[in-house]
Formats: sequence, structure tokens, C-alpha cells
Amino acid sequence: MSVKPPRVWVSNARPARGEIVRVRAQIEHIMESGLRVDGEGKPRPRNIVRRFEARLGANLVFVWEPGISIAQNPYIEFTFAARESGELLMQWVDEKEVTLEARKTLTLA
Amino acid sequence: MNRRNFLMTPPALALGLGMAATPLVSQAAPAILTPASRILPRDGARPRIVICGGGWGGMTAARYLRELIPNADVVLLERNPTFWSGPMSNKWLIDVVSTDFVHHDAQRPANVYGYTRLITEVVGFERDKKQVRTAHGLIDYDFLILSGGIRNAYDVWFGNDQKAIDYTRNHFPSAYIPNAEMLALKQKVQNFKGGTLVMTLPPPPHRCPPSPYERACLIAWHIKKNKIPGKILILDPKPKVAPISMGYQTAFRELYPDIITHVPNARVQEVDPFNKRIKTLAGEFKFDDAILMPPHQAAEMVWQAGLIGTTPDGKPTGWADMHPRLYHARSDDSVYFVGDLMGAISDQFGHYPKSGHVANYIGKIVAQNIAERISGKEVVARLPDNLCYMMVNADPREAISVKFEYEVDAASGKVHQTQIDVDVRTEDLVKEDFVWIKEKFSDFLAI
Amino acid sequence: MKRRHFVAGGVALGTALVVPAVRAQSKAAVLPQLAPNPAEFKKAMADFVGRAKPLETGLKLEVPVLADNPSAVPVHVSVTLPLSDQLYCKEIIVLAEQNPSPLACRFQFTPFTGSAEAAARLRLSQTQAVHALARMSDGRVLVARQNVTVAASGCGM
Repeated sequence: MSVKPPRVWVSNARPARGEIVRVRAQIEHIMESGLRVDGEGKPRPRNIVRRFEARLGANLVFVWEPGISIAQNPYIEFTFAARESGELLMQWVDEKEVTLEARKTLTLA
Repeated sequence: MNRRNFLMTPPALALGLGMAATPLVSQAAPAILTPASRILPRDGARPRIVICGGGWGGMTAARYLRELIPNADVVLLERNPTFWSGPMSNKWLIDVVSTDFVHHDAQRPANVYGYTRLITEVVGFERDKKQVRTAHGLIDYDFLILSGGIRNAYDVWFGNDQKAIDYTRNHFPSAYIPNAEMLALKQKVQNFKGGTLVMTLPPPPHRCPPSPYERACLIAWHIKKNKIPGKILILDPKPKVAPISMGYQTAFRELYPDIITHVPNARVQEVDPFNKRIKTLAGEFKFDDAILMPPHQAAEMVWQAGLIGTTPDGKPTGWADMHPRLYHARSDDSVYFVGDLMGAISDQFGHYPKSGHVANYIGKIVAQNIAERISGKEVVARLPDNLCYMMVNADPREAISVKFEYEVDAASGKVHQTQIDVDVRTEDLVKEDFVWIKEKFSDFLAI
Repeated sequence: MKRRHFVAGGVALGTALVVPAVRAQSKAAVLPQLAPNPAEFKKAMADFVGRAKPLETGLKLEVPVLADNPSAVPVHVSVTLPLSDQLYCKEIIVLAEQNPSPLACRFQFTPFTGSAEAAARLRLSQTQAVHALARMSDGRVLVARQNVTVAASGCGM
């Protein structure tokens, strides 16, 4: 099965110092709520993305903790002020501790 | 030397090949086919499947019928001599892809897969005799597949005012049905000098729901790149942009803020193509140029076959009256429907998306179902999925995407739809789009 | 770090001729616990607000009034107060009042973030109010709410 990479869009990879950078990211994940049953009537075991975090270099920029009311194939958008150049590292982890990550390089103009 | 040998009829001409048995010499007049001719006589006991419409769905069904039923006699009827793809055609408008990318030889797949392709016009059906009437004569069938796509329902706007219909078609072509209008639209885009370009969107259900928005984005990109003093006014009958609402609205706002204006709830009430005016529920608009996309209905062939559905209050639904899980006509199980002309599937979501992807998928399913029936096996109900990529920016090339998944609800037995919008526009979605189209083309165009 | 990949939700279909049979993919039915959970909603609100007095300004919540795809309803939150290194937003929560699990998600920011804005997508079980609550670094709690009507639709309607 082909696994789709995270979709990531960054408003500006060469921002001015202090410029607000917008990030949009989306992954494919079933976000199984634990509230559904399968065709045989057995509950489908819960497994959702439980945490997303974004770091620029060593600094934590943003954290998202989704619950079961977050849609399948979770979409996240956030902003931050570009204070330094570096690698923006985004990581997703689900309740089975499976992780996914994406990176974007930011260079101050 | 025996002189008689020289005078012998060549062996091929001595065989009983119908008209071809006529001697080559001394022919007084050619045998012209008329709608009353009997053509393509049956070849023994081979099951005959006739497919009306050789687009994405029809060509796919033809290929897989030949593969699944080795002795099947598969006949594909199509009015266009060549194949023109609707999918990717918006990109072709602004030269992201070349004409060779969307325009293909349609005889080659028939030769490769081993079906008969006949260029003709379907004019009617004698379903009681299992015959299709065409411009070139009558053709027998055991199973019939209708895959003729859509018709432009200009009559919804103009009644029987043929002058207004012709003027609209000739001056403001919809270019939703390949292939002649595609060239006209491309010229319109390339020659656009400025002013207000109006796009009326067909009300749902219509062919490929996201593509008018993609068309708007790519024409807007052309306007922006060439600094043309032009604006695009999207007159949308829907209350909001849908599907992939967020992805499109973001593209309109961020990429084309001074070019694209989206007007919701703008259901068309009156069109005056001569004076370039249009009246909608959201107000009256004047335009300098336009792409007037009228409502869509199932292709004429479904009406000719008398297989259009009926609403509870007795009006035609405009789409095929079909079994939602087995794809054959409710009143005639020897007739199958493939692609955009299909009727509603479920009251949860209405129709399957009228896309090339779905037509290709249903083409395969219907081929399997017909093969099961011919071989006396149990017929298995199968569901499609759908996948569409829409380019919203040409520099850098960025696309958004929408995916639909279907499953049968255990409780109600009805088909249930899950919609997955990928609203983040990225360059890798464009790359995946090209992988997708290559895979699809190789599935029915033999390329 | 583990490099296993997430399993995507759908059924992959390429050019393969074999189309999966419907029998193998019947839709999951809904369990009774899909009902609203007002006690949990109240608790989530109370836990976040604590002893603070919630302010109805400074936090912008954007949700469509009519959600045509209830399985993915966009929600956007942003703090509109002027932020500085001294005053920043620590976290924002989003609550779907009538959902079985009302606390939809938590967004956390740091002094390094320099802004307080986020968007995600909810699945809403029914027409209801969506709430957002923000906690500022000075202890202030900001609140906003928006009613959402849920109606199904799709490509083919």
C-alpha cells in the first residue's frame, strides 16, 4: 500500500526576522474514535493521533493534542514569528506510538 | 498453362463476408449504410456486448469485458474519431500539458484489447428486440452498456429557443463535453484581453464537481501572469464552494484576490447571451466574455432508451434509473450504466462524483458483473472510490485533492460516503496527479 | 525514533482489475455512546476556567454556521489581544458541546511562538455549539462560542 507523505505548506521559507509564518499540515490517519463497531458488531479499537508538535531548531513552537472529535486525516494550521533560521521539524504520534514527521528549512531573509 | 487459373476469383472474395463478397470490379454504386441497414451480424454463439460511448468508462468496460470473457464480441460505438480527456484539460488550457497529453488515438486500444470500435451516432434503441439504432444501421446485443456521459441541458435556461441555445453554444461554450469546444475555450482564454469573464457553474449533480473551480484558478493564473486587466466572476448555485471548500477558498483569497470573485447562491434565472446579461438569484450581472455552463443531465441515449428516472412527483430526474449497487436499469437488467449518466446512489450523498476516476472504476465493475452473469456465477455487488487532484497554482505548481470512500451501512444496507479533502496545496500533489493519470490512461488507452 | 508508517484509511486500488467485494467492507455501525456527555463538557469547561473569570473578548472563534460535511468542520481560533514576550497565550482548547467526547483538542504555545492562532477540523455528531477557551500567561481566560448547523451533502448532491 502506498503511504502518503504529510502535506505541508509554509507561507514563506525565506521570511524576514519577526515575520509571522503560517504552516498548514495534513496527514492521512483513520483517527479511529473507539466508538464505532465493525461489520461483526465488535468495537473498532481506538487509535487517534494524540500529539503533534513543531520545533524550530531547539525551540518548541507549537503543540496540538487532538481528541476523538478531531476529523479523520487531521489538518492542522498554526502560525509563529520567525526569530531565527533553522529546520522546522513537525512530528505526529498516534496512540500506538507510530510516528510520522516532516521537515522544512527556514532561512531568514 | 491453364488459362482458367488467371480468371479465378481470389479466395478471400469467395468467402461469405457479407458486403465484402461483392467483386471489386464492375461495382455500379457503393453500398451506402443507412439507419435501416443491419450491420455487424452476429458471429455464432459469442455473447455480444454493445457499449454506447467510448470515454473513460466505456473504453475501460470494453477492455475488461474482452479480458474477462474470452469469447465475448465487444462492440464500442463512439461519435468522436479520437479520444479527448476531460481530466487534465484545465491544465492544457494554460499549457501545463500539451495537446498530445489529452488527445489520443482511440482505435489503438480497440486493436490492442481486441474489441470492435465503430464511429457512429446512436439514434435510438429497440430494447424489446435487443437492438441499438445507429446512423449506420441496427446492431444486435445481448448486453448493452450506456456510457455516453452528459448532455448540456440548455433547455432548462432557454426552453425551445434554439437560436439562443445555438448562440450560447457557439459564443460562450461550456467545454465540458470533449472535444470541439475545448479548442474554442482555449482560444478564448489565450485571446482574453480583459474585462469581466463570467463562469456559470452547473447546479449539482454535475460532471466533475471540483473542476470549474480549478478552471477558474488556472485561468486566473493566466490573467495574473500576463497582467491582463481581467476579472473572473464565478456564479455558483451552491451556498458555498464545495467540495474542498477550504482549499479552494484559500487559493482564491491568497493567490487571486483581485481576480476571482465567488458569488454563492447564484442560481441562473435568465440568460441573455446576445446582450451579455445574466440574471441569478444573487443579482444581475453583465459580462464581457463568459463560459456559460448550463445544467447537466444524462446523455441523450438514456432518454432515447426510455430509462430516465422519475421523481416522486412524476418529473424526470434527468439521470439513469438504475439499481444503485448493480448498475443495471431497474426495468431492464440487460442494460448497464457506466459513468456520468448514472443515477443517484444513496439519499446520504446523492450521486457518485461524475468523474473519470469513477467511470473507469464502474467500467471495471460492470465488466465483472456481466462476466459473472454470462458464466452463471453469483453476481457480486462492488463499490467504487474516487480520487481527484485539482491544480490551483501553476507557479509553483500546487494542487489540492479530494478522495471519496464508500462502504455499505450495516444497518440500512445503503451506500455510505466518506469525503477526504486535502486542502493543503502542495507540489507533491501535482506529482501524484501525473502518476494517477498515467496509471489511468494505461488502463484503457493502452499507452 | 520508530519509522513505521501510519496505515491510511482507504483501500488502495491501482490498475488492478480485482475490485473488493462489498461484503467485506460493510460500514461500522454507531454505538449508543455516541450520545452527548454534558457532565464531561461541564467538567472540561470548569477544569480549564478554574477560579478565573472568563472574558468574552480577545479570542476569535471561526466555525461555519452551516457545516455541509459534518465529518470535517473547519474551526479556527486566534487571540486578538496584542502579544509580547511578557504576555503570551499558553493554551487554547476547543469544545464541541454535544459530542460524546466534548474536549475536541488542545493547542499549546510558548513564549517563542510569538502568535496564538491555530485551525483544525472537527467531526460533529449533531447541530450544536462549539466553544473555544484561551489561557493567557497572566492568568486571564478568554472564551468564545459559535452555533453550527450540521447538514450532510457532497459531490453528488
